[in-house]
Parts: sequence; C-alpha cells; structure tokens
Amino acid sequence: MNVRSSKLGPTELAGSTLRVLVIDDDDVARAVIVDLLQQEGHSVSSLPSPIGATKHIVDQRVNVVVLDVMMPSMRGDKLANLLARNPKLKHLGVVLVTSAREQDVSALLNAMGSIAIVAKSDIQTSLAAAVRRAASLRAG
Amino acid sequence: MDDYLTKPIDPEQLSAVLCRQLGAAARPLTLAPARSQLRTRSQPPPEALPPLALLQSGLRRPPQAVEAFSRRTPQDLAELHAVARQARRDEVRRIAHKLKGSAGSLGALQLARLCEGLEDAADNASGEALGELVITLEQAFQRTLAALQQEQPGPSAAREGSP
Repeated sequence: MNVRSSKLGPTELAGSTLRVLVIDDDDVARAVIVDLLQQEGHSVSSLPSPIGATKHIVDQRVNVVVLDVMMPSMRGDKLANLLARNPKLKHLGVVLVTSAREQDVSALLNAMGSIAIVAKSDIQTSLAAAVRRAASLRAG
Repeated sequence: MDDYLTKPIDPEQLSAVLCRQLGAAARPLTLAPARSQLRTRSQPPPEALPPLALLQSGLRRPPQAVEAFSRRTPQDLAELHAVARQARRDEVRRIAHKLKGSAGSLGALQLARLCEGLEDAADNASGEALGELVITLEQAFQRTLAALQQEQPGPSAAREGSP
C-alpha cells in the first residue's frame, strides 16, 4: 500500500491507492465490492456491520467508506450522516450502495445531498469511479 | 466537475442535481409522465433479461462471491417458500430484498428483477400468488447457476451447484 496520508490532493488521487472500507451485511455483495476495488489497486478492508466502523476508519486512516443502505443494525444513510458530523473524519469520502427500488433511490439522492449512491446492479460499471470521485471531493 | 449523473438519465435525478447546483434559482421539474414512459422503455420484463449480464473486459465475478451466492441462495429460497405461503409480508420483503442485492451485485439481472417483483407483490398478493412467484425465482436461480458454472467451471462452482 502506498498511501502517505489520508488527506490526498486531487492530483495525487488520479491514479493512487486509496484505503477503502466496505460495510455490507450481504457477504456476496461485500465480496464483489472488495474484489472490484482491489482490482482497481486500492487497499480494501471490510466489515459485515457498522459496529466498530468509526474506530476502524480513524485507526486505519480510511479515505473512502462504501456503505450498504439496508443493514439490520443501522441503515447506511444514517451512518453516513453520523460520519459526516464527526470532525475527525472531515476528509472521509462516502459512497452508498443499494438495491432499493428506483423511486426510493430518488428520495435517497435528494436526502443525501452530494453523497454518491450506486445501485448494486451497477457496481461493476459505476462503483470504482464513484469511489475515486468521493475521495477527490473530500480531499479538494 | 461539481456533480454528475449516470446514464440512463433519470429526469427526477437531473432535476435534483440542477436544484443542488443552482440553489433557489432552480425549481424542481415536474416530469412524472416522462418518468413513467422512461421506466417502461428502460425496464424490459424479467424474461427478456439474460440470467447473467456480460462483464466489461478486465472485470470478473469473484469466485468467493459466486460460491457464497450458490451456497446461500437455496437456503434463502426455502425460507422464502415458507414465509410466502403464510403471507408473512415483511419477511418476504426482507428476504427478497437481500437476494435482490446479492443477485444484482453479481450481475444476475433476471433474478434481481424477479426479486423486485416479489418485493412489490408482497404488499398485496395472496400467499398462493407469492408462493408461485417464489417458484419463478427458483427457476431463474437455476438458470443463473447454470450460467455461472459455464462461466467459472472450477471444481468448487460445480460442487456447489449440485443438488
């Protein structure tokens, strides 16, 4: 892994390795996302639930967290809001992934402001770019 | 770049982005008829979808995800059978939603779409109708499994696919 700091500038981010944390209770989706981002050259860790996420993000200086929306212990969008309010994590990028219905995704988009949301059926085509963009937005 | 949208463009998402970028100067667009037309065009029926979406060059379906999907889905379907026949709607929705996420992330589009149909039907359909939809899901899963085995003919995929 070749990340010197969790605060990376946009130029550095263009082809750099990011530290990414994936949180999804679905082991299939989690494995797909981890594999995809590792293929992109990122350093990827994962958790099956949000428990312990904040500590992991701080300790491991995670650049971007990829969160499933519908998890039994805590919804990903709620966790995203909590992370956004944490002053220690102001450089953390967040991407939500969901298999929600189209109308629910539209409502989520409106509620989550600039946070990227990727449909699980579009993970292979859209997630890598969304992760880079999330890191770039928070670093800029 | 201040924002972006992925294709196919959804008029309501476009409206939301414009409102975000332009602030109070922009009013939300009212595009309900156009949206419904768009959905009709962009969402073919499940049977028109392939069991597995083709992957772009350089991408792959990770074997550990395929193995977990092959192992776990029969259990999910058995559970769905039980709760569907009893019209336990919340349980039907929960399991169908989870299976939709697994299938969608692997590119199993037909199964994912059928799961979405079951989620929708869970609101009103009878237990018998829900049970029939689960049978349709099982058939789609078998097609998906066959396509996955064709794509990854390794020993673990073949073993997991055995009845």
